[in-house]
Amino acid sequence: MMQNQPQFLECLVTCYQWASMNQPPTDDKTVSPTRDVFRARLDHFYKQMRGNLWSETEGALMTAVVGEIGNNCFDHNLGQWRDAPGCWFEWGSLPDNSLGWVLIADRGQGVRSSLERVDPSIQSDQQAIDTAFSKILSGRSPEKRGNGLKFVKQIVNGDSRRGLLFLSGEGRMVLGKLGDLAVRYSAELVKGKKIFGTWTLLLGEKS
Amino acid sequence: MKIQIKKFGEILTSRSEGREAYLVSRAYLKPTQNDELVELDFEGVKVLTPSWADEYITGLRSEYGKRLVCLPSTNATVIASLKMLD
Repeated sequence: MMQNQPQFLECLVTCYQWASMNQPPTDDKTVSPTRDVFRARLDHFYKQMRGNLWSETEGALMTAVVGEIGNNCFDHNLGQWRDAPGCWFEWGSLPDNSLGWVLIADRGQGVRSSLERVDPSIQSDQQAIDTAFSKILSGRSPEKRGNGLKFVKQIVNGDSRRGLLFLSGEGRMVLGKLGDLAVRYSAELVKGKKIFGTWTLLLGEKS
Repeated sequence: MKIQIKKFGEILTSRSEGREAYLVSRAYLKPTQNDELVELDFEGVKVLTPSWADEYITGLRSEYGKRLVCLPSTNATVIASLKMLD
């Protein structure tokens, strides 16, 4: 088991508050203000989780998923932050080491604001999220992008030991067999407090 | 000509890094003959995402077309990322 682990439920609440508050507190420990800081923490995440909780292959796949989601925070929000720049990135495992968890969030423009510029038919947060996870479409048009979240969906759905809850505005995406567990962990938080940018809880059983 | 992708790093995730790797490769890693294959060797890469791969491979493909070949890999992230580009 990893030492000096942050407490999962406490972190879940703090991260959700950060992503949904009007004025977020500064948090240097968990917020990567620039991509370089996120990148360095991603390396540390890979080494720590692969060695302690996940197999080589599982650790690599989960790191790729986290890399896609975390880099999206920067790719779509540079110059667009509501206030605090960067992304929240925190991880750990449950005390019995049965499950690893990852929290990623940002206070950017959100999925709908990004995509409705390139597809005016998008009318809601939910429609924007459904589009982001299923179609090759990016808010950074005319650049040919938009396969990152399809990759995330494919990997998380590809093994019953994984799950993900993704929130933006009032919309959500639940993926993988552990997706319902992620929803249950977050159910009380989500009531009445919408996420400004994006918020993700990724779960992966020990392998 | 074989390009060892691990020389750009073992964990390759962002578009900006993929783009930079492509620009470096275009400038410094050129085949000596016009019909020479350009082989991408992913041996030693631990994590690859479709975003990095898209910037790097799509860029090189525009330069070398069908002469660009991705060598087989057993790494699950390399396999999944390359599949996304097909």
